[in-house]
Amino acid sequence: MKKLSVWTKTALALAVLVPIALAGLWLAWMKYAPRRVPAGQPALATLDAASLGRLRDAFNEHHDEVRILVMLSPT
Amino acid sequence: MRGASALQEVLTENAALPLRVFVVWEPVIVTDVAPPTTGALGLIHDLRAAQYWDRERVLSEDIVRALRADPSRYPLGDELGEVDEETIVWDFIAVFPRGALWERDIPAPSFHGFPVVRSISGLRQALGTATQP
Repeated sequence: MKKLSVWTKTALALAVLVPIALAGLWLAWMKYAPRRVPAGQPALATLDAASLGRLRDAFNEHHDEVRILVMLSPT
Repeated sequence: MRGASALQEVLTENAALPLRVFVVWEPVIVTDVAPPTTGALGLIHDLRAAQYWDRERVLSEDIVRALRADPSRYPLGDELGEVDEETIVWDFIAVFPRGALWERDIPAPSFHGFPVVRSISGLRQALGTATQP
């Protein structure tokens, strides 16, 4: 069996470790990145079963205006 | 993301229109591990917008429930046949006319479309119609 050279072993190790490190950095960024809405908008609100009513209330509060609802994925 | 930018363009074009925008971000794909970052939130910078993070996709579930409970109320046509309990409402945009109230179920929109980026011309038309006195 042919032995791998030091360079080949290093290249293989980098091929495995670099993507893992990049994925870790990306996950850390996603977890700790700042989450600020543009100035002048209300703060980012969290929706759940208990707070869905607040979205409904806000929607109805502006019944005299046209309303746009958009649902998006963050990435 | 292109949908968010495209929507902001329409909002900029219609800066004087009295309207409200509800932007609901929800996890759908495997990379959606956390709420939107400042960069994503900044794509829609219009002051008429309010932004929400819906980690459990409760709004999507509520819309699917309403669609299945009373299909005749919503102008979905053939699309309705594709809606089941597993459906996730996302990359979706809807326009609601003045006076529409969200009571138990979300009201029927005057326009809806998906994906958002391909719904922009329809959105422009809908805003033109919906905001006429």
